[in-house]
Amino acid sequence: MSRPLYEEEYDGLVLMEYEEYELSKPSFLILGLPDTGLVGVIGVNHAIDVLGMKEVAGIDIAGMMPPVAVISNGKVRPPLRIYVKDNIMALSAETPVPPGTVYPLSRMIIDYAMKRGIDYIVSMAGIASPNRINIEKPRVYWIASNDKARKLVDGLEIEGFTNGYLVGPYALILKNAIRSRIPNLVLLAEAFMEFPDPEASAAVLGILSKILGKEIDVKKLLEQAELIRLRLRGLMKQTRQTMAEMGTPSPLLYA
Amino acid sequence: MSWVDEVFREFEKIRRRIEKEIDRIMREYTALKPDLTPDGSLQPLYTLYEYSDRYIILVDLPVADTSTLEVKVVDDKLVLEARLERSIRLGDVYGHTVGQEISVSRYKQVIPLPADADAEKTEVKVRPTKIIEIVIPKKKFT
Repeated sequence: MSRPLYEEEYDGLVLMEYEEYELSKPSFLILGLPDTGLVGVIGVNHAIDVLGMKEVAGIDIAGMMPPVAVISNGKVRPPLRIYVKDNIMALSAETPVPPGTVYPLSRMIIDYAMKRGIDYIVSMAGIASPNRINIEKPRVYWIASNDKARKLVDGLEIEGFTNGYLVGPYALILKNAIRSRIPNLVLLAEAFMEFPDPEASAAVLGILSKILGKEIDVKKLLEQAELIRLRLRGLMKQTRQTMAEMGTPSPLLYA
Repeated sequence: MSWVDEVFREFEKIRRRIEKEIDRIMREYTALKPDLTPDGSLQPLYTLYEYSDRYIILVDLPVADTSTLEVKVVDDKLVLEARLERSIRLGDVYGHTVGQEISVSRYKQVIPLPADADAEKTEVKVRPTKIIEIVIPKKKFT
């Protein structure tokens, strides 16, 4: 984290741009935040790798608890990173979003997307399936914030997610997107709730490739699936805990 | 503002303080629990599901050699062990500077069982994805 070119702060979050960049049109922002099965994190990191995207910005949680600095290649990097290539921007996270940060973060993401003229925000998410162990090919469902977002899945053979809950950062991003009239498509793959699930990520990437009109090859992802599961045990554990805090309000609330 | 409001406000403040403190303690507790034991084994992730007549435990064992899997019942606990296909250097997996030379070659997990689990009838299924499904019926009280 060298001193950025541009910096803005909102409610304890700091967004930094390290260099100038332009996105071609129509532009997409793909989100990979930790949730069920780490579907988004695994999928977005794979896309960043395959497409050769460049890290140009990041978001730091200034008052983050526990206090952690991520050091990589001798430099401090913020826990949320922003990459770009052609018409695609990707956001990937290395730590779960603390419950108290979910709201300001969702505001900041929508606000930044609007400033950079993003046309579509695509959230890559997992939906816990109790029967996941018996499913070979996880199904993918969609939720759209408006008609423009829904048109992205026209002609694709995937089902809408008509009833159920969305918990966590993607839920607030969706609601804020509706308020701000920015198209947000949530792609949800059936996943193990509490194990990293690269197969579910591959299923979402298959749909995403069609939406972007750009092939994101998942062969390497599936080959390395077991190593990815091994590597992400720690993040999965933390994410489980954070999700539990968000999913069930503390019993003290009713005291 | 009436005195009732004031009392409520004061209670609210105290409640928030207690909640924060509990959160902090919980976080510290879980942060300190290592998932790599000193004897060099990794603790796999697992989930326990409860059904009306049975429990199902799923255990994630990536890179394990599932033919070496052993599941034993010791008192009211399930002890699960398996070797990895190959020994793995932590440096290769995580890329961290410290501890690069440490290698792990097996998984070990101790899972406490609920009181009504009929552990003698434990059934273990190994899935090709290296996720282990352990089915334990509930005891029938007649």
